[in-house]
Amino acid sequence: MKKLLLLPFVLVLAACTTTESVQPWERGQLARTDMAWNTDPLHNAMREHVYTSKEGASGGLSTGGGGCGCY
Amino acid sequence: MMHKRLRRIRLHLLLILPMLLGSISFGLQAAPAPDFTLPRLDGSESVSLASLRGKVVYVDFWASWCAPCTVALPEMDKVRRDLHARGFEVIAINLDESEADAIRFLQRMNLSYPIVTDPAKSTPTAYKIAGMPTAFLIDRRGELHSTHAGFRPGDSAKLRLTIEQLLQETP
Amino acid sequence: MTTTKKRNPLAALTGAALALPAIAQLAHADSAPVKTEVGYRYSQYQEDDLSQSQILIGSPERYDVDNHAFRLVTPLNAQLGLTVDASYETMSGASAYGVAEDAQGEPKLIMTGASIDDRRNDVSASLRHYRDNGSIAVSVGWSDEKDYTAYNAALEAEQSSADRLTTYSGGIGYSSDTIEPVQEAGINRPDSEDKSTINGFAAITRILSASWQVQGGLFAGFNDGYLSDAYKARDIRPDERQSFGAMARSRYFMPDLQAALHADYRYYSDDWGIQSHTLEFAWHQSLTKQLRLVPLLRYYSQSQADFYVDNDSISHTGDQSSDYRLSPFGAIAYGLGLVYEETSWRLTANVERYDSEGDLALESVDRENPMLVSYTLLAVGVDYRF
Repeated sequence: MKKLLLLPFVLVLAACTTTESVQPWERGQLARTDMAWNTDPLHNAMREHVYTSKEGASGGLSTGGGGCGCY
Repeated sequence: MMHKRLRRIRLHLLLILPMLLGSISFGLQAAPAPDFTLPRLDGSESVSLASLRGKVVYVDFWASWCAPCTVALPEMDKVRRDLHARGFEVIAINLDESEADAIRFLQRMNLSYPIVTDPAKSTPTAYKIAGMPTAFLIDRRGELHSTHAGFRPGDSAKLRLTIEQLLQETP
Repeated sequence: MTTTKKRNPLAALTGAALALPAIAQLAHADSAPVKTEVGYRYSQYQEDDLSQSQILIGSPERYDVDNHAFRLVTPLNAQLGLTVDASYETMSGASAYGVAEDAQGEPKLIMTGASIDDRRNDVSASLRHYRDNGSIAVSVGWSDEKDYTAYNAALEAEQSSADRLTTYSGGIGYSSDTIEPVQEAGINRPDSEDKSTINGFAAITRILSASWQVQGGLFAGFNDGYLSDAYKARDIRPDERQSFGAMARSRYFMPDLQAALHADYRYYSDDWGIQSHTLEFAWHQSLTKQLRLVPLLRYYSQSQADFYVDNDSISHTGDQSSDYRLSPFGAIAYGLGLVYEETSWRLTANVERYDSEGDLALESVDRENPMLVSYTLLAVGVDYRF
């Protein structure tokens, strides 16, 4: 069960090694608001604040990259 | 082996090219702008670049999901309305996957210049665009004058100066 | 919202949580904002009351929070974007003074008698400079309560490859916190204590296809100073804590279903002996062009801190804490969000239910901490762009 939880991490690493080229004009789906790393920063800040104050663990990544790729 | 190395060199060139194109507005070696004939988004007659020879043309690649593109469209419409009589034209090439998205978006705008669509995406390839939005200024001789990558509010003021200079040239 | 994580007014500085100073709250976009956006969220956080059978002495009433959060994102010029966050919250409730064994040897709570009221003000600002394919941001924040003050600052940078398919990002943050416990006659509490926190992260974001992007990275934190709970009867913790973690995230869009699947996984480990796994899924289902329904599911599990004790017996020596945040447990949260989005404005509503239990942990737990929390979080909000 515990090892199973590492699966997504392994999948992402594996996925990073294979990629197809995505042209600048093919990023309409990636630019969608529901595809953002953080779709609702204000609400998620509240959620994170609660989790961090009720659980032993804390920390994470910021959320750059992906998305529209617009200039 | 050799083939592999060539491929790698080509890959490097591909990486460097967009980097060069990515810098905002720089001079290009005089080169003819790749010609195209594309249907209008509203279904009326097609527009070809060749038919506009003798005019200064701003070719703008855009999509409805690209925020800076949506700043460029109305700003460039003002410039076009002011300078159209002197020989300036804008062609906005839409690159949305779904034409319906583009049409819905344009309902909120009242743009005077032709909006065309390129479902095969052959023009952005021919113009080697590296990001959205990217626009090209083409002089009266049909040659590429400059590239404008990205669009910030107010950018049309700078562009207007360049366009007015180009309008003074004779074909 | 800030960084400074505070548990509740009576259990400030438990140190079990360390926030990622300001970095995590930066407005994010791959290019400078072209429009000004303002947002507001009203949230109501309500913990379930304790059952009388878990309490030896005191009130079963737990924590309620009302939070008002505001955000402004605006372009200052072609290359510069400013984000300002401010929040105001009021809290009330009782908290645990300690854990003692009853006649049968079961751990029971000793609660503070009266409900405590407090409020928190929180302001942070960040300035992001965009150039070519990257950006650099600096941010500062301040948070204030009756018994707690925190200042923090952070620096973050990101750079994309020329094709903009790969983005490298990293950041470092610092926070300086002071606790001045509310004094009560007859109880010996410190007058004023400090702690400082440094943390950082490094991440890679990669676009894999026109409908799939992933992100992976590492983060670390270091706490130094007073990390104990000043309000507990016996709470003695090390004055340092080092933590480390890894995170993997995925965003996948399915055009046929008009749905986006979000999956996030986090591994966390620290030198207090806590290891945890967090797994979260959210399904963003578009019903119309404007309306979106977002069910979410989150699972969390942690092992206990080395010095965790399941009761505050005076027979324990050295580092010890009966804080439930340091106990072994698992938690499941499920929620539903509703988003109505037009071009220049957006309305949101969210509900989330959280339950933590010893039995939900990955490893079996003999004695569950009686203070483990269950809560409901309700939120409504509006955003406006102009």
